[in-house]
Amino acid sequence: MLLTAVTVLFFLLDVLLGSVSVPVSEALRIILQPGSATGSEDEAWRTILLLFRLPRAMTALAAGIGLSMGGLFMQTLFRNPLAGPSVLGITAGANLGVAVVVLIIGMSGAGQYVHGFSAGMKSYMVFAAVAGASGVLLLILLISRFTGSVTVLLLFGLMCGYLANSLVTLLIHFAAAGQIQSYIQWTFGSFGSTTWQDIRVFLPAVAALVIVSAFFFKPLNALLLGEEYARSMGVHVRRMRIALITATSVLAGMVTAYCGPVTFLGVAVPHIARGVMRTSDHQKVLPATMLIGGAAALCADLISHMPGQPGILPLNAVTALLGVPVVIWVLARRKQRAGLV
Amino acid sequence: MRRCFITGICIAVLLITAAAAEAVPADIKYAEGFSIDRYDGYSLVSVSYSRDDRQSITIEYILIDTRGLNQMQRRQIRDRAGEGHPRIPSNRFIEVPVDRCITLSTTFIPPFSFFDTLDRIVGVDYIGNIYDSGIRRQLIGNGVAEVGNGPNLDLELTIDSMPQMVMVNLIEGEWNTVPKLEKAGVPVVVNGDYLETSPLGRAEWVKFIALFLGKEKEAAAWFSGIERRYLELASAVAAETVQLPSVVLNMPAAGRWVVPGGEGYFARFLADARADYLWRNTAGSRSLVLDVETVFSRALTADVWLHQYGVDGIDAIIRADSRLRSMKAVRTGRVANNDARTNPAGSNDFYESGPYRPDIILADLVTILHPGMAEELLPEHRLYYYRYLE
Repeated sequence: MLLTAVTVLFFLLDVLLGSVSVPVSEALRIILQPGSATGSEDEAWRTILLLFRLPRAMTALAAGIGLSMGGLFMQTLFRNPLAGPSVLGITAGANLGVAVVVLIIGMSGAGQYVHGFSAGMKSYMVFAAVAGASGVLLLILLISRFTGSVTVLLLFGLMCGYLANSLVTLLIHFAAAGQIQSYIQWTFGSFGSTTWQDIRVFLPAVAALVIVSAFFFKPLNALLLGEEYARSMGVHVRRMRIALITATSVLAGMVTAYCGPVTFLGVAVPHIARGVMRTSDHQKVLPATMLIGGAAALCADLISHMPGQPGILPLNAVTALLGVPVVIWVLARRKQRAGLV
Repeated sequence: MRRCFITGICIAVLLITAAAAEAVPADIKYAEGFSIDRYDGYSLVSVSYSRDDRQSITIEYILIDTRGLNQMQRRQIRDRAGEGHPRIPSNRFIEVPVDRCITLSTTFIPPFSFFDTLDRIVGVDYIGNIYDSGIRRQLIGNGVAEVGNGPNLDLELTIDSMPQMVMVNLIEGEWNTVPKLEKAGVPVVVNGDYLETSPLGRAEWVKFIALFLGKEKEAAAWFSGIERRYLELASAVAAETVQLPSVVLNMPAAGRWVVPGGEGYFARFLADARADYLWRNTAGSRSLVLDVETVFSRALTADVWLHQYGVDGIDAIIRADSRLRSMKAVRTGRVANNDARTNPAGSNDFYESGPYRPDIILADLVTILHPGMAEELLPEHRLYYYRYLE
C-alpha cells in the first residue's frame, strides 16, 4: 500500500541523512553488509550509521506507532476527538517521574555549570518514567472499579495530569539552574538517546501491542457507537476499558521514558488517518494510524536533524509545526459528515 | 590681611586642581569585566559585560576608602564623588573596607580566606554549597545566615543581617536578585567573574573583591605570583610541544552533545596547555549544542577526553551509553574529569577555588595532556582538581 511505501521511504531517509554527511553508496554498503568496514573513516561512518542513525530511526518508528495507537484508543474509548495518550494524565505522571530523578536526585554530583545529565541517571529515568505512568494508570484503574462513567474517568485523569504538572513546577522552583536546564532540554523530546539495549526492550513491547491490537478491531468499532450498543454486541466493556487504558499507559510510559515527552502525534495522527482512509472503521484506520504515525515521527526526526546544520531542532517544536498544517488540510477536505470520530 | 587672602587663593587653586585631577586607572591586565579608576579619596569601579549578540551592560560603583577618616571627611568625599559622577545613584556608593558582607556565590568566598577576612562574611546563599570544610566550619562557627539565592532569596533574613554589601553574580532572569535587593535598600554589588573568558582574567577578579576588603596591595602581590607561575608554565610547554593531542569535552545527553565554544574559558586553557581542542575554531564563547553523531564522529579518534559528569568510573559511562566504549580515549585510558575535589553534597572545588588557581589547573592539564613533558617540567606536581577515570 502507498502508506507502507511512504513509511519505508521516510525510514530510509532518516537513516541516510543527518548532520554528518555519509555518501549514500557507502551508507547502503554498511547497512547491508555490516561486517565489511575497512579504514578509520569507514569506522566512523559505521558507528554513526549502526549505532546512532539506525537506532534513532527505529525508535522514531516505534514511538510514532505507539503514540498514535494510544491516541486512537483514547479517542475511541472516550468518543472524544481531543483525546490523546496524555488525556489521562499518564504522560504527566511519566514526566513527574523523570522530574523527580533529574531535579531531586540529580542535585548531588552536579555543579552549577553542568550541561546534560549525570550519566548514571539514564536507567533511573527510564524506570521513573514507567513507574510514574504506571502509578497514574493504577489510580485510574482503581477509580474505574467504582464508577461506570467514562466521563468521570476522563475528568479524574485530567485532574491527575494537573496535579503531576504542578508537582513538576514545584520541583523546578526548588532546583538549581543546571538541573533546570537539563530538564528543559529533556522536555524538547528526542529519538536519539536510545542504544541497542534499549531498543531490544522497546521494540518488542510495541510490536507485541501492535499484534494484540488486531483483536481489538471489532470491539473498538462497537465502542464507537456507544457503550450500551457495544454491550449489546457482546463486548465486555469493562475489560476493554482496562485493556485500552493499560495498553496506552504502557506505550506512553515507554515512549516518554526513552524519548522524553513527545507531543502532538497522539492527538493528530488518528485524525489524519481517518481523513486519508475516509472511514472510521478501525480495521482500516488502526493500521493507517500506525503507519502514518511512524512516518510522521520519522519525518519530524529527519527535519530536526536536517543535514547542513550541526545543531538539532527540538523535536516537539517540529512535530507541531509539521503536523498542524496537515491536520487542518485533512479537516478542511472532509465533506460535512457527521462528527469527527 | 593680604597674606590671608593670597593663602586662601592658593589653597583654593590647589583644591580645585586636586578635584579636577585625572583619574588614575588601576592596572588590570587580563580581566575585561571590570575596571578601576582611582580618584582622590575614592575609586570608580565599573563592572561590564558585552556579548556580540546582546547589548552590553555596565554597572558603576563608587568605593569610598574610609580608613583613617572621620564622619565629616567621609561626607565631603561622598559629596565630591557625587558631583563628579552625577549619574551614579547613591545606593551604589559603598564605603570600604566593609565589615559585614553577604556572598551569594561560593566563588566569592576564597578571596576572603586568602586575606584572612572570613569573619567579615555574615551571610551566604547555602552553606552546603561550600566545598572547603575548613571555611565551612569557620563560617558556621561565626554564625553566618543562610539566605538562599535567586527566587528563593530570603529578603527578610538578608535585611536582618545588616550587610554593608551583598555580592551577587551578574545574571539575568529569575535568578537576578539585584532589583529585589535594591528595592529593599540593601547595598548590592554585581560580580561578573564567571563571564570572564581568559583564565588569568578570571583569577584577576581577586583584585575586585580585595577592593571591598581594603586589601588591594595583598591582592596585587598574590595575583602576580599566580600570573608568573602560569605564564612560565605556558611558555615552557609552548617551547617544547611538537604534537598537539586532540581533546573532546563533555558527555552526550538526550540526543545532544554540548561542547564549549572555541573562545570560551576552558577552550583558552586548552590552548595554553597546547592541546588541539576539536572545536577551537568556533567563534564565540557560548556553548554549542550539537547533534550526538556530529560530535561522536570526531570524538571517536580524539586522544584525550575530559569532563564527564556525575560518573564514578568508565563502567558507569559505558552503562549509560555503550556506544562511548569505542572512543579511542576510552580504550587507551586517557579519560579524566575535574571532580577530584568534590564533597558528598556535590560541591566541586574546581568552581570554588579553581578560578583563582589557573596555575594549578594548567599544571593538571599539562600533566594529563603531555605526560612525558610533565615529568620534566612539573616533577613534583600531583593532579589536584583532576583525576583519571578508571
